[in-house]
Amino acid sequence: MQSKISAFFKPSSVSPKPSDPPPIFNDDDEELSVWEKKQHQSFSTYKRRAPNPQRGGSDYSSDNQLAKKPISDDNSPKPESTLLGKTVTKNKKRSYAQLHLDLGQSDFLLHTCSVCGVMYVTGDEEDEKAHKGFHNDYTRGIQFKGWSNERVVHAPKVGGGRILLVLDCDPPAQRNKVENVVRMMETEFAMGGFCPSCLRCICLFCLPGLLAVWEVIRKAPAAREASNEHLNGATLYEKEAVPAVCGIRAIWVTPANRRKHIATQLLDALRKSFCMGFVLERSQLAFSQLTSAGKALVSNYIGSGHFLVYNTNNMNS
Amino acid sequence: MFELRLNQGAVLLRKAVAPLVDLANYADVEITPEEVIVLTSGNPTISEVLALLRIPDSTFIHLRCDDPRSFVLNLGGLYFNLNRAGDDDELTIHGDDGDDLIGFVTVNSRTQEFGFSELSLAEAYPDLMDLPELDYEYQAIVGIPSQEFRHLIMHLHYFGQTVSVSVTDTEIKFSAVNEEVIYRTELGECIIGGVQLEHPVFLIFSLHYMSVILNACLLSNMVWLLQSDDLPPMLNCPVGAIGNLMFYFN
Repeated sequence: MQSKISAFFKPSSVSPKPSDPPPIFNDDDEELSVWEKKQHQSFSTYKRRAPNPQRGGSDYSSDNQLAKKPISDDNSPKPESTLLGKTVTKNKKRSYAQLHLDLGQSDFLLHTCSVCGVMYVTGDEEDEKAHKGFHNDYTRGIQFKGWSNERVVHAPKVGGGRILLVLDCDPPAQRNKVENVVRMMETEFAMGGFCPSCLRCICLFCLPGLLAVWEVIRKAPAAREASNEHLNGATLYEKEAVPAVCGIRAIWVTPANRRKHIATQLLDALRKSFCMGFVLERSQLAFSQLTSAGKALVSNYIGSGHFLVYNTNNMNS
Repeated sequence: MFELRLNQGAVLLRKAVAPLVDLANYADVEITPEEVIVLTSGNPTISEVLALLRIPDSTFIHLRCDDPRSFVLNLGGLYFNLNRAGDDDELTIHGDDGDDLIGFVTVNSRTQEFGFSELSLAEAYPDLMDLPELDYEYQAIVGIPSQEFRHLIMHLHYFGQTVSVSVTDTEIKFSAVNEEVIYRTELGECIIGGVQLEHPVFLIFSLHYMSVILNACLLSNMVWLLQSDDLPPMLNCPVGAIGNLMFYFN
């Protein structure tokens, strides 16, 4: 007897059904049923594996998230259908997440900002937000609302800023703020081993509302200096060591506020506040490794091409 | 009318005043909007030492001074009143123009309890000290770690009461009678500024009030000796968060 036509169209399923008896034109139903029972029917069942949430890669940390979203969208509901006791899940919804093509770009994963030098992932929201915050701090200066107890060293009449002095014995809140600025400096100078606790004092220049620059001073125990000569971009060292009174570990101004004599004012304030009753001569300052901008500042400040330089690695304390 | 307030700095003020208590009984206090000065001197017949505690206005969270005022206080009384404040307490010192006493108010940082005390002003005595020239820029400066300076003082004290110091551009020589101690800059033992090899600098200071100097040195990391040709030498002990303790030796 001929089977009904609906018997040909079974609901579609992923798992194959090899042992389905083919619809044969069999007049004898009984024989068919007997034949059916005689067949060794073994059903292989396949169950779809749950999508692996770690599929995106092992380093799924917040710093380095891949821009690609996994193809299988975990959150879309999967309609289930049951067929002959097997449970099958299928992904009916297509994920429309924006994918990025990796064609071998050099900065596909990490993009370096040309202004602040931070590497971040362009597609990732959190990374971009973090970079934006740092970028603003770097270019315009860290937000600084002022402290209740500021040690104002010098307040220039023009420009409305003030220079503060922060010592070791100051409250931790002030020192933490200073550490934030130090960290920002470190990216530009690439200098390591910067522990604020071992510095003697730090000067900050603050414009109303914004922390524009800062400078680090270390009372160098003199000695081990070499005199320098600046000649067409190269720094020549003279052999003889000359004692200096105060060493400057670093001086830095946010890029947006450069060329405004801020660094000069910082150095002036330093010279006056080094020790009450004594104003340092310009020639008594020694600087650690200088950038080209630093060299320009120092030559201008000292007035000649000769200035003192010291090696920070040689300091024993 | 003046009012000055320190929060959590009361203990530092007390520590800075402590060395002066051994020096004399009375101190001149001058209050201006820019700073507070406590001036005292040792017995002039024995040894002319002038001690100056300079506290800039940035130390106080609040310094209000309508007119510059100066008055004389008993140092022991001042120290006693400062001692009433606990280490973390907020301290306010105030006084009115007409009154002959000043008030101390302490606020306990934990319990917010108030404490009041008063100190009478002393009579101004005839041999008032002259304030040395403040903000004077000395020509030469010598810096020594304070621990080292203390050892030096205690050592030289056995040999004599007067210490002569001879400074060249690379070394400092301290001598008392026939004992000499030398510090060199290249070994990182000291800092010298403003001295040329051709013009060595000499200064003399007295160890008569040694205990005062020793106590003052405890408050600093580094002590500085300053010298100029026409002026008496000065020993500056910076007291970190408070200000500077300066001793002028005549």
